[in-house]
Amino acid sequence: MSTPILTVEDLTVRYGTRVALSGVTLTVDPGRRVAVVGPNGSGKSTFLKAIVGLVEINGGRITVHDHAPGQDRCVAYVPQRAGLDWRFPVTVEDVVLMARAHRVGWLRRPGTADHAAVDAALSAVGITDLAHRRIRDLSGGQQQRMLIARALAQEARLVLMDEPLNNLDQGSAETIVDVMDNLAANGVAVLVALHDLALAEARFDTVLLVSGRMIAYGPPSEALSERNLITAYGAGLQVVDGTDGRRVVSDPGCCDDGHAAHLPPVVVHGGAAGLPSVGWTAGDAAGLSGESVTRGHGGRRA
Amino acid sequence: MAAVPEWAGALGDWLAGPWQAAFMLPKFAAVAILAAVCGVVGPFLMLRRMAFFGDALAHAILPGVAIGYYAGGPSAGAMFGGALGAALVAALGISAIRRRADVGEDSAIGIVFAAMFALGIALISRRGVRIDLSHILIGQLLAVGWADVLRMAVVGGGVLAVMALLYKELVIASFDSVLATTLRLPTAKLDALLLVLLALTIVVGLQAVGVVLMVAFLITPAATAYLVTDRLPSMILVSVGVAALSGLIGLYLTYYASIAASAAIVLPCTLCFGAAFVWTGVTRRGRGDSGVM
Repeated sequence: MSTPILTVEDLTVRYGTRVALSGVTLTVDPGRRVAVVGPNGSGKSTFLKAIVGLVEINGGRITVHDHAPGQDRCVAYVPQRAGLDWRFPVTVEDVVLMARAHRVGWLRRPGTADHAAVDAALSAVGITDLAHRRIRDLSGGQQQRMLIARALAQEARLVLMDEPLNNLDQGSAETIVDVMDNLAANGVAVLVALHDLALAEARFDTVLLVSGRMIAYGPPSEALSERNLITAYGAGLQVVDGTDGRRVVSDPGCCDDGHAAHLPPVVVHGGAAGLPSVGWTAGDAAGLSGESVTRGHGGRRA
Repeated sequence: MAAVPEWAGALGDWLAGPWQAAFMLPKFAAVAILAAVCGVVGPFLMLRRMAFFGDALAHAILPGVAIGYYAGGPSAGAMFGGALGAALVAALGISAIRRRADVGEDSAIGIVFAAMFALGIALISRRGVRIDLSHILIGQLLAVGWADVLRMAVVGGGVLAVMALLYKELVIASFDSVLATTLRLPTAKLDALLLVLLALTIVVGLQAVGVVLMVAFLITPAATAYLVTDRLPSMILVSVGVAALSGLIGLYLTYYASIAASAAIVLPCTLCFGAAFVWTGVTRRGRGDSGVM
């Protein structure tokens, strides 16, 4: 057993009097890929923000590399795209270079090593040709790749990504998952907030399922059990065992207000070997495509 | 070599006119300093959507001018010192309000800084006080002498030096405060520093442009540069250029047409912005770009 890079003990975070997240206890070893999943407003983002020191901790303890949150520069945080000012007059290279500020130091200008790190990061996510593009002119997938490149340039040991796959084209999403695998292979621990439970099961070592509190933490097959999913996503969820896999069905009529944004995602655990995933929800009948249900939750601008 | 046409000679005389008047030279120097400082600070103000802060800070300086007068008499130096003190107090006050604004940040600023402005008017309007309020509100560039230029150069030079040294950090804090926090940059201190630099810039411009039009001279060159450039360094350069050009045009207007200098400086800025706005609109349409960002 290696020393955990992240240790969380009975974490509680409150916004005002509302408890956003509680009861999270876990450790993450170097090189692990952890998917953080749960319904909207379940505390996924809050959890990542607490680790990086962006929100105050009201109970419990987080230790990163033997430091308290916000005390360790070995943590890179990839924010949701909507939170950034994309009209700011900077190029892709400028933004990625920002991640080197703490290595460059006060009153000094970036050196050869910093530019080399930026080039390597851009290359790793396949946007070398966009280095001098103004960020305003990027597509959503390019924006996300740039933010991941920025995290890479920071040379962090722990990388946190807040819903990096929302509203992405397939190519960008695959690149990002590949980059994540590379990071993990190099001993970097990666925590990714996700909506896509099928992806969580397929590409991650560990799943943290939250819904205001920690529901489960463990290998995907255990963490995403029927019982846990129903606990996390509520009584509106039904799990159906079919011949081609397991279908998870949500009934929007059971939700508070029936809005699509509150629909839980669809997941199909693999049935017979190699069968493509099939997902459907009651929402489909209302004209929602499976794609918009699985990926469309957090896409609206904050 | 062909003889110089008569009209060219006349134009030359016209252009050289203000430069041959010795009393105009400190005005040129003052405008150059002001253009440099406003041109550099303005883009940060614009990109951070802090135009209202600039306006509020400019107004909040008024009681400082009055207190300077009460303490040191009707000397430009005393009033400059008073304005400097008020600017620092206002900048630090504003950064405290930003962090704890129960009634909303903009309302809090409106309340506090309108009050400071009112206090300034109250102090200045007392019988026997020999400050012309209009000089502070709309500036009095034609009264600027070399001693004023020296004060402007010292404060303005200090602002530019700090901006140059902390450029990298100020850009990160302005673009992405979340990244600044995760890199453990002192985000709150950098924000406060930017407000202090803004306040000092306003003091530099107080005599030339005055309180009311200060924000225009900060924002308009920056907005013009934003339209025609793609990166912050070039935006800053163009912003300084637009401010300097407008200042120069303004001085000619003041010299020949006897227009109040602050208005004569700001209006060419606005023309530059209008030209850039139309030009980028035309070229963008040519590229088939909707312009929706």
